[in-house]
Amino acid sequence: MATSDDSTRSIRFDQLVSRAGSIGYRALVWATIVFLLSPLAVVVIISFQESAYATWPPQAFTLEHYTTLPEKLGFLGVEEALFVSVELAVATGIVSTVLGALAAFAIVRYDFKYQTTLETILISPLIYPWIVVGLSLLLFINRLGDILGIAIELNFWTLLVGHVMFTLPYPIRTIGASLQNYDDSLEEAAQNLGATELESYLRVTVPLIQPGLMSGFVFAFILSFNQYIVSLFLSGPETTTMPLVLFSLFYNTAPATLAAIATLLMAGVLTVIFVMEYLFGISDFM
Amino acid sequence: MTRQQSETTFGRVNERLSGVLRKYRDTRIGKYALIGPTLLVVAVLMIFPTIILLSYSFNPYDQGAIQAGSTLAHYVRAFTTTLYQDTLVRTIKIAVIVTIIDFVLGFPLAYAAVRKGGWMGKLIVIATLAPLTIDLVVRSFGWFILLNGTGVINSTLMELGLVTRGNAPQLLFNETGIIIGLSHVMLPFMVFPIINVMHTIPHDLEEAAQNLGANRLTVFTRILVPLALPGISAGILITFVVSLASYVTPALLGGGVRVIPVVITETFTSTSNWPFASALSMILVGVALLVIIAYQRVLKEMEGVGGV
Repeated sequence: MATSDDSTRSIRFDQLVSRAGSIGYRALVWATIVFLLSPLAVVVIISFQESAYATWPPQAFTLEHYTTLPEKLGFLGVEEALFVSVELAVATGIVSTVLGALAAFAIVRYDFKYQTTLETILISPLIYPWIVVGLSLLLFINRLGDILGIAIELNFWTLLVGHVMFTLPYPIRTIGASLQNYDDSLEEAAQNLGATELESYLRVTVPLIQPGLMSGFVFAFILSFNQYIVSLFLSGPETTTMPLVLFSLFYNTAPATLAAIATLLMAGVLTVIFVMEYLFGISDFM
Repeated sequence: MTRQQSETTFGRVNERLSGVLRKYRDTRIGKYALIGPTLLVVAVLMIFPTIILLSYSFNPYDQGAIQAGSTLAHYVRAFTTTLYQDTLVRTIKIAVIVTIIDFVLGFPLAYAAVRKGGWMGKLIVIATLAPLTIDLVVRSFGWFILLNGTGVINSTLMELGLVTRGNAPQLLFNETGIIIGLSHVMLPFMVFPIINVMHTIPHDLEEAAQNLGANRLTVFTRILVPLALPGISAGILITFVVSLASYVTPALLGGGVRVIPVVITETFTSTSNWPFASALSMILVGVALLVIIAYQRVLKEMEGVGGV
């Protein structure tokens, strides 16, 4: 009698533990979602509250930090930096995607003797410290200038070189994944039906791997647009990028103004992503 | 008229290029022409500069200038000066703690994203992806608003009467601030590899184990972890190595508390002691390489044990 009582009690205890476990699990997941989104949310909230400082809780709400923004932007150097950053991110995205596409095509379609080593080398910028990328490239450019006997100026092009280097693995991965997903007999079929090689690549292969191409481009674009440390080493006096300006404004401008700029930036980046997702379905290869 | 012209030009280009493609497509030349440019970019822009960095790290630095010759003085200075020893230990400690926090938060999140699916899965993916696309400075600014002395967290705690202005926890300008900020930055890098591998684990396995009497903990340690190991290890590796080398978050949230990348940047920008900055960078590369090598060995040994 006593034993059966014990066993029902232990079953009930088990259920209790299991119930508590599942509640705890759910709480942990929700807490993590809040953890991920709260730093972004508070920036938006602060940009709409009245005080120039990041006071909490907000007393009243206003659009003032946005309406006064146009006159401040030029003075803070934001406009020019934004222009450089967008240009740089687009150029990086294009170069990285083209190089990445060629390499991905080679890796997927051909057999190499040292396939794994080759793939490791191509992917290695992924875990190579960004700060070392910046510093070592700067020293490299310096040394190259010494050898050639010229002073190489730090400008848009040195930035582009650094940005292409650290973004390369992303398009290789996304395009490689999308190439693996499709059957190369489609190309052959197109060629058997009278398409030339060039036509079959442009009209069959490229459209089929478009999601991979576009997500590779978006990855490279965003990484370049947000890159700070590589740009710190490689930017010249004439070329300042957006992250560099934001960093210098961090403790040197009214928090509400910075929050307004940051909110607009977030809106811009998220818009780009949603448009690309809507047009090309890039999330399959994220 | 112009259109016809361009069509014929295209026709000519088309024929020429297709001829070239046909000729070289299945040859060695074609193969290496495709991979060559990218390989060259990586070699010239990563390997050469690293060699130059290494050579700089041996250059003597005296009287404010880089001298000819070679010396190990910079490495000795980095490893024997208490200041740099402490910084190195702190940098590694922070990276370890961040990796643990991100695994504890990231695994359940990835699991929920895959097993719950539907709108919950989408919400988790969007919540994880969104911060990844936002500038690091902006994200640090968000943490500044949350963590500073009169920030969101401390204000709320005071409102609730849990702490007073006198004993409010200091969450910013110390290691805590860096750890919180970096955990946020690195979490997506932990979650996505685990999500990818979790998709390949059949749910039936867990149900079967549970029907056979395994509890949640057993299912987790004996089924999920071994099967998800490739994703988990990728997540842990990236989280650790990238945390180690992070600059923006520690520089903005750490205050006077420095990590190695902050010291490298300060040394480089405020003195002309490039050799010492190079030596510190090489130490960073060395630690990262050690972790990657040790890791591959551990992984290879574990493959035999898992065996499902």
